[in-house]
Amino acid sequence: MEKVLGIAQVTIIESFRRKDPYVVLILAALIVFGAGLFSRFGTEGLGKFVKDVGFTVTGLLAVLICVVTAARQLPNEIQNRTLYPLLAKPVSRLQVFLGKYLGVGVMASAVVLLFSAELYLLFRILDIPVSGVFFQSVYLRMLSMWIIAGMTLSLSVYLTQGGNVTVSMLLALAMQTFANTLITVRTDLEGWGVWVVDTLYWLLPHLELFDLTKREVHNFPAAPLWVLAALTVYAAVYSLLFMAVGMQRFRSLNL
Amino acid sequence: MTKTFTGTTLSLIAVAAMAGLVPHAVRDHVTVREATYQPSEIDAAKESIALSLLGQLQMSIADLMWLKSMEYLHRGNLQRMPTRGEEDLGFMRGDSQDTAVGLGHTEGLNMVLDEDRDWRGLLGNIQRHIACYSEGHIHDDPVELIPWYQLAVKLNPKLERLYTMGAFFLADFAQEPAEAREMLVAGIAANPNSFEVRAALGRLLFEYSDRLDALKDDHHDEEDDDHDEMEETPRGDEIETYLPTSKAEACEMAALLLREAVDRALETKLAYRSRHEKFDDFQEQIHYESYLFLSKSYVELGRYDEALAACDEGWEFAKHNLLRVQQRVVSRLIEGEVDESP
Repeated sequence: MEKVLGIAQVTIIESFRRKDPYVVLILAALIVFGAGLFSRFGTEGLGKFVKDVGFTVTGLLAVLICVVTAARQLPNEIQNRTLYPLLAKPVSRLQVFLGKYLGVGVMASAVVLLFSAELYLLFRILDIPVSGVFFQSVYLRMLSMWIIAGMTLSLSVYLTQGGNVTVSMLLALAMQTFANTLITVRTDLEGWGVWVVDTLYWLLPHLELFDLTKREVHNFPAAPLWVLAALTVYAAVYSLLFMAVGMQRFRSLNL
Repeated sequence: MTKTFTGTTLSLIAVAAMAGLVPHAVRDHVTVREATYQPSEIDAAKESIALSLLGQLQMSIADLMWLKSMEYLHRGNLQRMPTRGEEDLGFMRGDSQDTAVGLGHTEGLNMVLDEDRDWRGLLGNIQRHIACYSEGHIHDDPVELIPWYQLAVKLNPKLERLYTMGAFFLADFAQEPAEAREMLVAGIAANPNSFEVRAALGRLLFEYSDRLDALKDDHHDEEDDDHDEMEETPRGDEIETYLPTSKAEACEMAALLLREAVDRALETKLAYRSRHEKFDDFQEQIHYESYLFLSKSYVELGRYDEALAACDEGWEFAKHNLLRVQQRVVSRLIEGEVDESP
């Protein structure tokens, strides 16, 4: 476990050394400034819009940083040949993979927390009310980061870095659209068509289920606790599945 | 490393906080003035690719605002039209029931599957608790749309429908007739040929002719109030901006605005016909209501013959039963039988 934690720590330090989180946080600060400018329009009651924009932009940037960071872990280590001295030590490939996953997961969760703190501050400054759904949405967003990290890390042993980033970003950001399309198309299908759509639907990770932000924007009540518990299990299952598939491939990879 | 990280993070949060506070802090010290440009600057702007692209962006954002207002009207509930398979199962589209004319639309099915259509068991149940889902078709308070409309017309002042709808919500739902008037005046300035906005302002003046104080903007500074009082009679282009001081003056102005509105509406209708197009429901409503309120304004002014003529003209060009009713009322008034309009 110590070795896994050590690799995770190095992954986090490396990520901050590359200054990715800083760049993203500065971008978010600029967006905060932009949202603050809405008060200059002199139109009251745009709180919903500020919330909407804030959640959308920080969500997008959090996914971006998680995917980019996870996608480059193993390919970069292999390309720079830094993986070989690491594996020469008494560290297994399994521990390397787990350490990388843990590092990316913690870093992405920290970014989500920082973004959320920024948003919360902005809402307080602009007197935009925040309900308990906000905190639920932060929790679910952090959970989704662990699925995305696992998915991207696994795909990084199958795809090129560019391909991985594209596929992972699409799955993470457009899952709502994919899911709605599958559900709609299914209504007009019969026989094997339904079977294909059902298989696709159940196989794909439904990251849209981890987005509670619209409920916060439109003042819906908080989600029941059993839903949060079920989604925690869902995230754990998918993360484990992705990790298992990725580790299996990484173990058999001819380095 | 940890210290650097914590320090940088705290600095960033501080910068973000300051960035958010700046607009609030400077708001009272900023004076907004109309920009003036030389003809050469305007010519240069017309040929600028960068400005053209920025203009496109501005229009796109205005359109996004309009779409967002629809999302917000439905409280985030996404809908779609039923597929053929769903129609076969009896899930049909329908007309919206509780919307004002102009906001009327066809209601579809919830994008998030309702329980009776769902095949996903627990996952479907979870989604209904995570997404903005409500059974049936819901509408939020239209007052919430006002800031959207105000912002959208700032980005694209040519969206004339938003001025009339925004003013309608401001006056009737938010009880802010002064702001409604201000919005319509801005709408006419931006769309001088629009009959819709002109008619809406005429109607607002008529409806508030007994309560003109309500049309006075409390937020206006004294300079503006003095300016309003200094104006003696509205002339030409000043009609829209002039704030009447008596009921008779308000009715007179309403009649002037509505007369102009029906004339422009007729011109527009004929132009539409030549292109084999028709007025939509909202335009039709504005058209016949303009005749109706024109007639009522004349009645208030004691000009019964003109009131009757407005009804006749309205019946000819914008057939509606209320015009017939008004016609009978005016006829009786002429005969001295009744003293109230419908």
